[in-house]
Amino acid sequence: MNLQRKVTFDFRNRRKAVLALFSIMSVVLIWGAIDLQINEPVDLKKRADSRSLRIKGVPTDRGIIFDKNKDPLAVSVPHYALEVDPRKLINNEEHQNRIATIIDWDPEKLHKIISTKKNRKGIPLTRKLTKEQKKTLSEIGIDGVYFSEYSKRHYPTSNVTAHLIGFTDRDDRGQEGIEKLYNATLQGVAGERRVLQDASRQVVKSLQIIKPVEPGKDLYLTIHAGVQYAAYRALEKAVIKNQASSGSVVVMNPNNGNILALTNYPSFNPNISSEKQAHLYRNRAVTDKFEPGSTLKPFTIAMALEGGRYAPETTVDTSPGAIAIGKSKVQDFRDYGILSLTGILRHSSNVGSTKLAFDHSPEAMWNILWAVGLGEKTGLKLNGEARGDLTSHVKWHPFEHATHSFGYGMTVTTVQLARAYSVIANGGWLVSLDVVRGAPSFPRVRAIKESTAKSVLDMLVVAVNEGTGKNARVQGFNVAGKTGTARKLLDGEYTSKAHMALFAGIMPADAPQLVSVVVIDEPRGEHYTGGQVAAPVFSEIMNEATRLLNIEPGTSVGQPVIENFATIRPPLGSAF
Amino acid sequence: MKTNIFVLFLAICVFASALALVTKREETRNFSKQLEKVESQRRALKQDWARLILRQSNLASHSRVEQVARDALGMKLPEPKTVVSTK
Repeated sequence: MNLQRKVTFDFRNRRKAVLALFSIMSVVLIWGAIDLQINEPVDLKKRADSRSLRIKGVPTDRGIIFDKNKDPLAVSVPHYALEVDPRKLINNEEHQNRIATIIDWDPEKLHKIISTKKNRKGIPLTRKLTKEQKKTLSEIGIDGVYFSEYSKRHYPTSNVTAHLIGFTDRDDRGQEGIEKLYNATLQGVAGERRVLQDASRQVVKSLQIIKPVEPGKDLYLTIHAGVQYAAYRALEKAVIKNQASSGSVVVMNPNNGNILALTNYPSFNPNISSEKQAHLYRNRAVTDKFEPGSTLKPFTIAMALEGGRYAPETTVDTSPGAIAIGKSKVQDFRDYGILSLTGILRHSSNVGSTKLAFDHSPEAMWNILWAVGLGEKTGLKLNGEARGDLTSHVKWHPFEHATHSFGYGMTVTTVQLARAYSVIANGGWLVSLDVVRGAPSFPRVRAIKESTAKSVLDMLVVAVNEGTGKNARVQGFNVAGKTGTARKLLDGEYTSKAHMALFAGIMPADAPQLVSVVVIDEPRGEHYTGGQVAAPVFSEIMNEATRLLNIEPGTSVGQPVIENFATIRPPLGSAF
Repeated sequence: MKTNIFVLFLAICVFASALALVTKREETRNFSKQLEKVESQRRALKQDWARLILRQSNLASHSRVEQVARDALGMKLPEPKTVVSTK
């Protein structure tokens, strides 16, 4: 019964009160809406226009490229551009004069620009505003003066590293070289934020970070700026002196594959846009293939030693200084008679190399060239890197079999040749080349026996001290190396008028720490051979490099060198 | 009576939560502002640093040092024969 009474409780008054309250509220809301639409629309529109929500980008700076000693090779620095609104300045000569004074302009020049373009919304005045000039102009607060920030890349080593580092475009995006290859790492990711801005597009309030900024990462190269400079300077001098068309130099550490210097001449200054001409961009050391000529002979010797039937003192009869292969003929400079394997390298005998090749199968010849990394990329991953040409031995005619033994009929790049010589320098290991520190690299693989590598290394010391490479000698050090003078192909035939002068060397021969290859293309001066043109460049670079890298002198060049390998190599750790 | 107290408690909770929401939103806004300020400071400092290392690098560049040593100071590279290595 009690329950029944509760259910029939009277709510009518309460309902009336609630309805009345809602009615009043509805009337107020309707009146408010009418008031906003009719009485105050202009004022509200103004307020809405004056402040609006926008998403703005947050810029990020491009990372710096450093050499191995943290010397900068490419740095982005902010610059400021100045733009003025002539409509706001046309009637104020005093403001015009102040602007002109601050930006070091002739006031008349500014008056003229503003009066001739007085109806334009904005005219750019300069992109070279300094930080101080911008600060002064901002402090004065002249109406109609606007700034925009942009980043400009600077290359303190300019021509010296131009091909390797490359350059960026106006928007700081990599266009060539390392700048292009590592663009994503260097560039970073710009952020985004939600802001409240006023009618003049000035940010009034920052509300929210939508996407955080990821600053561009710095990049550390394996390049040594000092060695790079020494290499460039020596190369430039040699190309000019010998009236050559171009040249390339690579200096590397044979033990880990790190490139210490990689330079070409002619070069360009990446800081000056007018110098950025397409024909100068090419990183010849990586993209240009050439026949390596006699610099390949050490690998023919290595093939013979690897086969087990030859020892360094084994002799080969090269008489009468020429050998006929079908209709073709291979010949030496003169008849060298009976030569040991060392003698073949020392005199750079084509006949000796051919006889060694013919005593082994084409497959054995191909295998040794492939084992030392020819015909494949070096691991540098630089733009446009060439593989070189190493055709299958199955297709070789006997003459091709012969020419491969002294570096014709196949092509290599400068970096490939340096990599191949590092196999001899480091005891037989094929290393992957690196130019960026920390970049993923392939593990080294055994290419030839340690004993073979050491024997060839010792023979190359003789080739420098007693053979064609005398100009490559470095005071206080034992140098190993081989010269090459390759005739160039002209209209399908080898010409005696155009050559490639080459030198590939290892330093110090007692405990190799550096391998360098010098290539001079088409020397047209008094001299043209590798020994006369390229070997002195090697010597000059190594003189500097040993000082810069604190490489201790080993056996003096002045010491007598005997063609007995045991006596050439001093015990490890000895100073002289 | 118990129900009323519970409703009152819930109402207080809703009110407190609303206040907390507003406070936290304001805090987030302030932190964002601070973060933005610190990031722009970091960027400005890095830009100054870049300017300075560029200037240092230009002054200490190998070509400039060589030129100053040769032209202004009359220095020259020693001949290899005159160099003595000490331990």
